[in-house]
Amino acid sequence: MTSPYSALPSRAFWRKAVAEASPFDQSDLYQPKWKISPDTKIATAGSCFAQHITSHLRANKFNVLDLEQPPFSLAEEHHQRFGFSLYSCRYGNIYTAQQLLQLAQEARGRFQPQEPAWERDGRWFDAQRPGVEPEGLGSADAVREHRRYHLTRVRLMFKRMDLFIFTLGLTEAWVRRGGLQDTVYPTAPGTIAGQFVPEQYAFRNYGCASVIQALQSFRRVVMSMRRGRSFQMLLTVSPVPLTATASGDHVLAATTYSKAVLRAAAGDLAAGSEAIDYFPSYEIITNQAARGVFYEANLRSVRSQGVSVAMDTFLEAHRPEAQSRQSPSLNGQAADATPGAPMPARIRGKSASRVRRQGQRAERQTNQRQRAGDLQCEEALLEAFGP
Amino acid sequence: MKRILWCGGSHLGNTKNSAIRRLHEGLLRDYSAEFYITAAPANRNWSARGGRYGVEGSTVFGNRTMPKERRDLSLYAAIIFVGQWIQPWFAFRDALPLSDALLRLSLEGLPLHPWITRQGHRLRWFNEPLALFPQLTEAPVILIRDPEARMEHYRLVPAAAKRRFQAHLETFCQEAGILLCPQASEALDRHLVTLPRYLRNRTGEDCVHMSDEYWQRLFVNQLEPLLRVQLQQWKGSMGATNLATARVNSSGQS
Repeated sequence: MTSPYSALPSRAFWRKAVAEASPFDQSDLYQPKWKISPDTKIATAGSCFAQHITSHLRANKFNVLDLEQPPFSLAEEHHQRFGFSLYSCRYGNIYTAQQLLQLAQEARGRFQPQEPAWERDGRWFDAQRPGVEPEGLGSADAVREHRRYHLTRVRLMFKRMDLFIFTLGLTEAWVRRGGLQDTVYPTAPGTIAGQFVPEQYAFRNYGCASVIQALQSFRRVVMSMRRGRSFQMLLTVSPVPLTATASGDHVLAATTYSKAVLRAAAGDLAAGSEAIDYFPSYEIITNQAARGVFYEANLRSVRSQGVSVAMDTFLEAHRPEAQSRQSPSLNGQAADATPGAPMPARIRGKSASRVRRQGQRAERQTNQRQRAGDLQCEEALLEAFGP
Repeated sequence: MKRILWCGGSHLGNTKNSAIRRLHEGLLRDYSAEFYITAAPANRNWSARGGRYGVEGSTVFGNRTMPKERRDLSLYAAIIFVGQWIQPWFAFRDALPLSDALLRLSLEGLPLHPWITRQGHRLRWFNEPLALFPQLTEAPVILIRDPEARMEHYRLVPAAAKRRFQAHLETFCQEAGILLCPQASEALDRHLVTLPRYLRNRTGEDCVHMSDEYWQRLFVNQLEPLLRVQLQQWKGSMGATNLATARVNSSGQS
């Protein structure tokens, strides 16, 4: 008897590829559609997890654009607090596909957010990126002026990039109703600044079709800025669960729904276009074989070792000659499956000392970020409103 | 003869045989000029590696560019810095609007602790002469800031940030006991960078160093009025005697 499964490789079977495989070596999981060359101009954006991707790409000498750099004399310890050095522009976290589309439309001049500035204690904050000026600005006009400059840089980024790496984080969002189009915000009003007025704001939980449509519209808007010149897009789904849900569901169910929608949307888009690919960071971190070991004790934040496994997988696919092997992913050894347990380390590959230094630099950057108060994550602020 | 100590780097070099010489042939004809290289990349890099001046009483020595030279700062009627790494274009970048918080944090530590990038690493170095020299002399210490460079990225920096830098420098000088020579504002364009006709190299390849005409104008219009006030004060408090002689006599030591 023949079966359509007879000739499939081992990666197609759960027992071989997952249950009996090491979660620290998932190199077979990602087979990129195209290679990223050293010259590929990469723009990054997305939810908090995307900050890890950006810093690792930079540490491994990928050509990640940074078109909104901090003042030369600003000490590095202040960069992230002011939204610098996190992504390719200073837009802060972009949690939803709808927020991304809105940014592109605004940069194109086709959209203006309602209520662009939120107030708190007499200071004003850009409602679209409330975390980039922790002390706020002196007036709503100043917010508009700063945003005008920011949008010129975003426009330049969209024009210059060859590849856009976007980490999908959430399906839930708060919007301001009114006009032809809702205004989507990265955080609920009242979290960092602003006031939540129930009559003015609405909760949205975007479905798969909406996410797909938003990303397709995003591509069209950006290509219109590029005079039709295409660009590659690499989608990934953040493995970080929701801090809180306003859906009315249990947060675990809401998280599963959200990640499922985002994963399905990313998968559909990648299947439908040669210019769009999917990187499985979500699968790497949530792999059942890892038994949660890639999460911190709060079962939400991703451990630096988990980020390393994900980025090792990425590097092996795109830069096999320069991958960092400091993670245990390639030694085939099982590790203690307890979240927070220490990981064995081993280096292999060419120019091992250089590879080790690169890995150490990436690790140091991640640890510096953690020492500085972890990722700049507005979504995590919702914890403060919990019981 | 009374002495003036001129300090700095490349700007000092550009003014030594032009504006400084003319000044000593005119207003400062009763003073001789001595020179001490306290700026220049070599001293900056030496400082970034931890290099520091040796100090014995009021005498400094041992910097990177003039390692064998010693200067007893108490022997001078005035110490004048021409430049000394006052470079706001190393603080700011392009047209990025700067909030109060960002300006404050960006100016923090300047001008004593600027940043430098060495072998891919950012380091803070110590502009030691500006901190050390005023402590070792009773003579006036005067700072002529670097000319505003005609760099494109600096031209784009908002004027408010440039003015804030100047205000920050004024506060620093006041607290450090340094007399800040006013800027030659007529030499600046509307973006508060130096007019192109004052560039030393008219091809535009060097946007930092200025012509003899620039320095002559600054010395005549800004520095000389400041020095005249100081000269009056010196004559009023000390007569025409050598400052060092007066100090030696008052301490009773030979």
